[in-house]
Amino acid sequence: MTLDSPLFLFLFLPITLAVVFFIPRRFKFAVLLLLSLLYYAWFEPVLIFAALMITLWGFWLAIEIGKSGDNEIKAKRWLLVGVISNIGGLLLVKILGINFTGLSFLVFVILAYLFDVFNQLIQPERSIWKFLFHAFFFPKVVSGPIMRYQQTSEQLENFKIDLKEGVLRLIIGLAKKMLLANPLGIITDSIFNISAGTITPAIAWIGAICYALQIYYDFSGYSDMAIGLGRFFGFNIPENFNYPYLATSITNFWRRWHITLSNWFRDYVFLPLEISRRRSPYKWFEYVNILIVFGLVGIWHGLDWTFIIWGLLHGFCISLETLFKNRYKKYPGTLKRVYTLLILLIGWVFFRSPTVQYALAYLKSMVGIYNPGQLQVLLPMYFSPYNFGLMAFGIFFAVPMGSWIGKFFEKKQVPIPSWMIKPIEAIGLLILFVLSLLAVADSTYQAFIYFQF
Amino acid sequence: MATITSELIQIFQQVFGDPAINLSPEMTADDVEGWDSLSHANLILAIENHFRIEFSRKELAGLKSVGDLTRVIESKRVK
Repeated sequence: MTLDSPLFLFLFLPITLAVVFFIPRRFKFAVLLLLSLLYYAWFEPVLIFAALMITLWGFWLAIEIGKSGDNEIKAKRWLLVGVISNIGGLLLVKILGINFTGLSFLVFVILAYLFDVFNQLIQPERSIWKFLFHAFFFPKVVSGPIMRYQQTSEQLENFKIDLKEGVLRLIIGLAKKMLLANPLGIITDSIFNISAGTITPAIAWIGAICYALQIYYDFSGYSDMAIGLGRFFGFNIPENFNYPYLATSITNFWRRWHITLSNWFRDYVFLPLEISRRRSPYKWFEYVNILIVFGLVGIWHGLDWTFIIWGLLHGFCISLETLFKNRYKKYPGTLKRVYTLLILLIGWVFFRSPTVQYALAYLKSMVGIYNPGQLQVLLPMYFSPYNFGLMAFGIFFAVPMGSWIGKFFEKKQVPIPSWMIKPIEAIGLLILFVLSLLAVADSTYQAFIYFQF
Repeated sequence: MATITSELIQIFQQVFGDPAINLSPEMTADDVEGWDSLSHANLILAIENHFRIEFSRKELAGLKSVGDLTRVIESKRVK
């Protein structure tokens, strides 16, 4: 029951909204928690019990860490038990190839909580129900954004429902997924199904660009939907994306892409590593730390060399950007953006490819080293106006076009009567919503990419 | 407090190589160009060396703004 499935949109969501709005406020959390567990059970009817055990384990560990107080050694011991058991479990599941929806996210949510308790930023929660709610709140349970316990607990006491923002984000997210990510995915899949090395450069580039756009709309669309759903029930779920393809460096990209994950690695891996090396005379430790972090970011996505190389490529570029920081600053903006986009495309080819060999052959095709074979016949199929139109839309909406257009009119001093803006927005949203629903009703099932992690 | 802030300003200017940096208590990493996770450790080290203090893990985890920094430095100096 993904957020874009008819079952969710036409049954689960309306029922949940109705129930939550019409029951007394004091039962709201109990009902939301129950429905969240039901939602998760839809994905994992059996493994939900494992997920519950992991959550209870984290809940109990935090209390032990809290009890240790200023006894550093004791607190550290419990934290270590938590880290080893959680990471060990996650690795085991990945090695065995078990399909466990949402586990990577759940483990990171629990670890963040343990670290925060260890750092005495928060007190361990005494209510198991509140903690279960934090772990399983249905909009974000399977694919994030990764929330910190502080964010949930503050809002549990003091929530503010914002229906307008909720509807807006839900529709925009759904439209990103249904109208851009899915159609782009069809092109991507068909190109990445061709045996690499036989693709012409033009098609290889189309495939890479389509995938870059697909994964952005897929994941940011999901995040928008999660954020919108959060607002329906009075929760501010943190933002996960900020126009990542406008990045001026790979360093900058990671402040715009999957923000809650990169913040997690920053706070709980990178900064502790950096702080611990602060008295070491070796400056190059910093680069080792960057590579460690991005190696781990890769592994988090899957125990596969394609992901690890993708992560390390990013880490390597960030190290170089740090090393030559002062020189990099002076390069012209266009050059920096082109370099960033190129590295991102190369990275996505690894990320999307089934094997490293495939990725390397694919990259060769992109620079013109290929064996056309019999595929030439298929060429016109990929150069259709539909494909290019789709890509153009994809690129168009990957930048803050709305605010640019607004600024343009402001500059030209074209007066847009303010009474027109709201109806235009409303009609635009309605059209997007109808088109998206048509696509939902019509679609052959296509899962969100980030459900597999 | 005032002297700590002015000393901090000097440290920030040195670490980030920007003599135009000025600080106010509510400023966070988002407001200072170059103050990111990559330069954070260098900043912490420079502050520790300058004030001859050492931050605890709790203090390090809680540092979010310039105001937090001055408060923690102040409290450590009193001791």
